[in-house]
Amino acid sequence: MSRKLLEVKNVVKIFHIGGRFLGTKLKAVNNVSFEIDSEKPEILTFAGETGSGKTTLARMILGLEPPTLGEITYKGKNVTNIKKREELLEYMKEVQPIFQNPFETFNPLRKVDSYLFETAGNYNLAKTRKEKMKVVEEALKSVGLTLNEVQDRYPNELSGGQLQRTSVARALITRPSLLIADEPVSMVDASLRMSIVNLFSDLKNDYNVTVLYITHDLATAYYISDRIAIMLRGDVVEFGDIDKVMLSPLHPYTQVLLKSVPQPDPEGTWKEDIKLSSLEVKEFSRLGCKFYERCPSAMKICKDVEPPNVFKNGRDVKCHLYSQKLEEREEA
Amino acid sequence: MSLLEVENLSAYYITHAYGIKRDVRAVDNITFSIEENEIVGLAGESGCGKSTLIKVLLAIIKPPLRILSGQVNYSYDDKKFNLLTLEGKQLRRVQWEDISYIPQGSMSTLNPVRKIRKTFEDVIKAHKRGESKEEYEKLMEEHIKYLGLPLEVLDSYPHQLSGGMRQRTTIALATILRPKIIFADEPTTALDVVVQRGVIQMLKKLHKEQKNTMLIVTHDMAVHANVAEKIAVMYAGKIVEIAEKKELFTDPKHPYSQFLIQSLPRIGDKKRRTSAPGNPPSLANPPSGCRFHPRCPYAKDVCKNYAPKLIKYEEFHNIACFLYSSETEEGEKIVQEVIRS
Repeated sequence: MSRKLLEVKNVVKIFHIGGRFLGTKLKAVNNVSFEIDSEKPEILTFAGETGSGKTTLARMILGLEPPTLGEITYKGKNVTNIKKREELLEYMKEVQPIFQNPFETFNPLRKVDSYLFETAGNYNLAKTRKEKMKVVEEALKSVGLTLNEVQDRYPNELSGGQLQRTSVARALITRPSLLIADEPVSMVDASLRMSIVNLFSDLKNDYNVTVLYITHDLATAYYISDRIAIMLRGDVVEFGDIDKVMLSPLHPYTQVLLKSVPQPDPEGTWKEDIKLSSLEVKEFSRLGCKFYERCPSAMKICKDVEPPNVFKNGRDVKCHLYSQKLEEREEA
Repeated sequence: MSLLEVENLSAYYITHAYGIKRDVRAVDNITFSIEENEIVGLAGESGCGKSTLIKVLLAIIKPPLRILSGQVNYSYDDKKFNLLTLEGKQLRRVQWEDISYIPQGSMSTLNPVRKIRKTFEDVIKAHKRGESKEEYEKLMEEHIKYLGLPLEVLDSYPHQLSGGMRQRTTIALATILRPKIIFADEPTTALDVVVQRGVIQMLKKLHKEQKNTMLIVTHDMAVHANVAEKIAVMYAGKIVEIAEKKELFTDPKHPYSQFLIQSLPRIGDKKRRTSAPGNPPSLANPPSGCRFHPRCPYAKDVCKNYAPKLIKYEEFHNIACFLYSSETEEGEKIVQEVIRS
C-alpha cells in the first residue's frame, strides 16, 4: 500500500446551489479514481474546459474542500479529514499548491520575500533568521532565482514570470513530494511561459517531485506530461499515457478538444465548423453521457445510461462506443 | 490609400504625483498602415502597449494617457479624417458606427444589472435616432440570429451566460452597426479551446460576409496563425516586425519574433523549447537604444545607443533591427547617419 504516493478512490463532490428546499445539486466531480506511484516521479495533467471540475479536484486533494463521497489517501493514510494540527502540518508539508495568477497570489502591499520566510517559519523548518535565509536561498536557487532579486521587492516590481517562479520556490521550501499546479502558466506572458513549463520538468528530473498539472492548454500539457486525464463536466472521460491519448484519441470529446487546439502553423487552419455547448448546468445534470448533445457519434443509449469505464489501447475511456457488451448496447 | 494610416504616433501615460514625474511610454513613435478588408494580428507580451495602441486608434483618450505626437488617419467611402482632431458629436458618430471595438474581458463589459436587450437598445438608440422600436427590435433579433446565437440571450442577464456566450454577445454588440473596422482586444483570452474556436469562427464569418477590416490583439500566437493575414509584433511600445503570416511563422527575422515563434509548443513534438532570456522591460524606464538589446543574443554596440527604425526589408515585410538594416539601401543610409552623428 505504501508504494502509492497518492490514491484517489471514487471521489464525488456535490455542490448545492440555491436554498435548502428549492436548490439544485451540481455534481462538480463525479466518481474520479486514480493513483500516483511514489517510486517514479511524473507529471500528471488534468485537462478540460472551465467548469469540468479540475480545480475542485485539486482543492479536495489539497484538503481545502472535503469530498462528499470517496476517499483520498496519501502514502496509505486517509487525508480527507485530518483533525490533528501536527498531522495536517505534516501533510501540507508534503503537498504544496501553486496558483494561477501570480499577481493575485501575492498581496500587493507585502514584500514578496516575506512569504518565503513565513513559509519557512510556519513549518518549523528553521528557527533563526540565518537558517531561514539558507532554506529560502536553496529553494530560490532551484527555480533559477537568487535572494537578491526578490529581497525587499513588492510584487509590482517583478515580472509575471519572476513572480510565478517565486511562487514555485515558496512551494518548494517544504521539500514536497507532490506539487499541485492549478493553471500555472495561463497568466504568464507567452515569451516567458516556456521557462515556467521547463521548470516543472526540471523539478521532476532533478528533485523527484511529482507534479499534478491542471490546465486547459493542451499544447504545453503534451510538452511536459507523462500521463493525462481529460475531464468533462466532472467525469474523467479519457485517462492514460500522453502519447496514446493525444496522438490517437478515442473519446469523441477528446477528439473535438484536440481538433480545437489552435496550432501555431499558418497552414493548419480549421476547415469545418463546430457545435458549442448550450447551457452548462444542463450538461451537469444530464443522466447519461454528458457529451451527448454535442457528440458527433451519439447513440440512443448515450442519452440515459452513464457510459462505463473501458480499458482500450492502453488507456481508460468512458464511452459507449467502446464498451464490450455490444448486444447490451443494442438492446437498450 | 489605406483604410488606416498611423504616423509617428506617440502616447504616454504622464503622471505627476508627490513631485515625482513619471512617463510610461506605452506607444512610442509607431508608424504602420492597415489596408481595407484585411485581418491584422497584433502580438506582444502583456504590458508592451498593445491595449494602449488600440485605445489611441479609437480615440478613447483619458488622462493620464496623452498623445504627444502623430496622426491616426482613416479614409473610407470618400471620408478622410484624422481621428485625433475630431471632437464631440463628430467623434461619437464615427465611434462604434464605423470604428468599433470588442473590449477585453467580456466578464466586465456587460452591465450585470441590465438585460442584454437593454444594452443592445442603448447602442442602437444612440446611433440610429428616429427609428421605431419595432425597427430596431427587428435589427437586433436578425443580427443575433445571423451570428448563430439563441434568441434567449437577449432576455438574459450577463451572469446567466457562460464566458464564451458572453464573449460572442459582446462581438454581436460591436458589429450590429456594421462597422468598417473592428478592433478586438484579446477576444479569446480566458476562454476554453473549444469555445475559443467558436469565437474565432464567428470573427471569420463576420470578416467574410460583412467585409470588415479587423485588428486582433492577442498574445496567443496560435490564434494569430489561424485568423490573421498579416502580423505585427510589438515589443515595449514599439512595433519591431510586420510581415505576412506565413513569412513570420516560417522565417521570423527580428530576434524577439524568433524567440516568440520558437518557444511555441506543438502537439506531436516534444523537442525542448526555450523562452527569451531575461525579463520584459518596464515602460516607465525603457532601455536605451533598441529596447530589446538587454535580452538580445546578437546585440551590438550600435543597439545600445541608437533605436532602429522600422524599415522595409522585403515587400510586405518590415523590421526594426540593426541586424537587417545594412542589407537594404535605406538601412545603409540609417547606419551611416548613426555613425556620423
